[in-house]
Amino acid sequence: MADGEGLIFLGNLEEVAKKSLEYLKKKEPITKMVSWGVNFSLWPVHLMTSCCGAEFAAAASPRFDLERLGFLPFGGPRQTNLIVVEGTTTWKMARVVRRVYDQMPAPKWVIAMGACAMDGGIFWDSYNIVVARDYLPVDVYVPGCPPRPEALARGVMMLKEKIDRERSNLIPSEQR
Amino acid sequence: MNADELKTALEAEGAKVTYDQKRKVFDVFVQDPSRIKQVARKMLELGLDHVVSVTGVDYPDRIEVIWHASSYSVDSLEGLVVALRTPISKGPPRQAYDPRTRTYGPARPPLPVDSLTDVWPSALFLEREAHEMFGIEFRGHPDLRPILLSDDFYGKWPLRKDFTYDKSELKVA
Repeated sequence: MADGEGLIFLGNLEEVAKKSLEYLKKKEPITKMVSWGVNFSLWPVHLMTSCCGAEFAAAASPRFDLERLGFLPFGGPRQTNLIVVEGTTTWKMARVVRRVYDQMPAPKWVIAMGACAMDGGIFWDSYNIVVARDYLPVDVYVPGCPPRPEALARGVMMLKEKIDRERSNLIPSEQR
Repeated sequence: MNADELKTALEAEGAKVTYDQKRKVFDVFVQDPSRIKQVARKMLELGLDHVVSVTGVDYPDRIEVIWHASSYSVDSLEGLVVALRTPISKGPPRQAYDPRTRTYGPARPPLPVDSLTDVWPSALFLEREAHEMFGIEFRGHPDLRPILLSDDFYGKWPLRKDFTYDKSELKVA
């Protein structure tokens, strides 16, 4: 019997409130609302690692306007929940990306954009290249060299679907 | 001053000059590395006032350092890029490949050559790059820290032919 499901709460009111809160966090109307809210506030951190950043900028600008999907590039990592690895990362840059990722508050997601972030692209044999999955938990891969802004938009849509699919884990349960 | 006059003036300095007008190749080869600064001073005097790239070439028996100099101030030298080359000895030959450590023995020290930063200040960053890529020690350079690569690769000289590395040694976080 998980999380007090099926119990009748009597007596200690504080305990009852806590348990019912934990119960409701996993249940339909609450998770749906939270998922809807998160879906339309996917704020990526503005960190340009490589040349795919030009396509990223085009995707966020008026012609393609990903802000209508809630995709608003943000300056500081503390206010963001999405990181887009834009193309190839060297060992030196990968450490910076990892540090930015660690500064972002949970829940957070990762999009690996471009062939270089997926498997190295034209630099697949280079000593100085590290691919995104080696240092970040990647949610969505966007192929292309570079991907067009529409491709990035599709990646964002897929990420939104994924967030909605896994919405029961969106609110972290309280540590006791 | 045109390219032909430049050629005769540099040959007087003891350099081996080849000039191909059609292919726009102007090559100055200085056999003795200790004379490189003198030839560079002469080139500066003749109007080649800045360096556009510094690089190296790894041959089996030597490493050649190449400075590419060009001119802003002399109109008749417009579009000409002069390659100033000098060979430096590689020292002892590399060891046999060791599959256990996946290297050719321990890292070798950088090879000394005179820095041309006091002749051409635009060579400052370019010589730093050539230093970390090829392991060329530019004597007289004021600041030879690594510039592009992370510290993991310092001493391994990635653009030399015998460069190998073990990816499992490197960590992101």
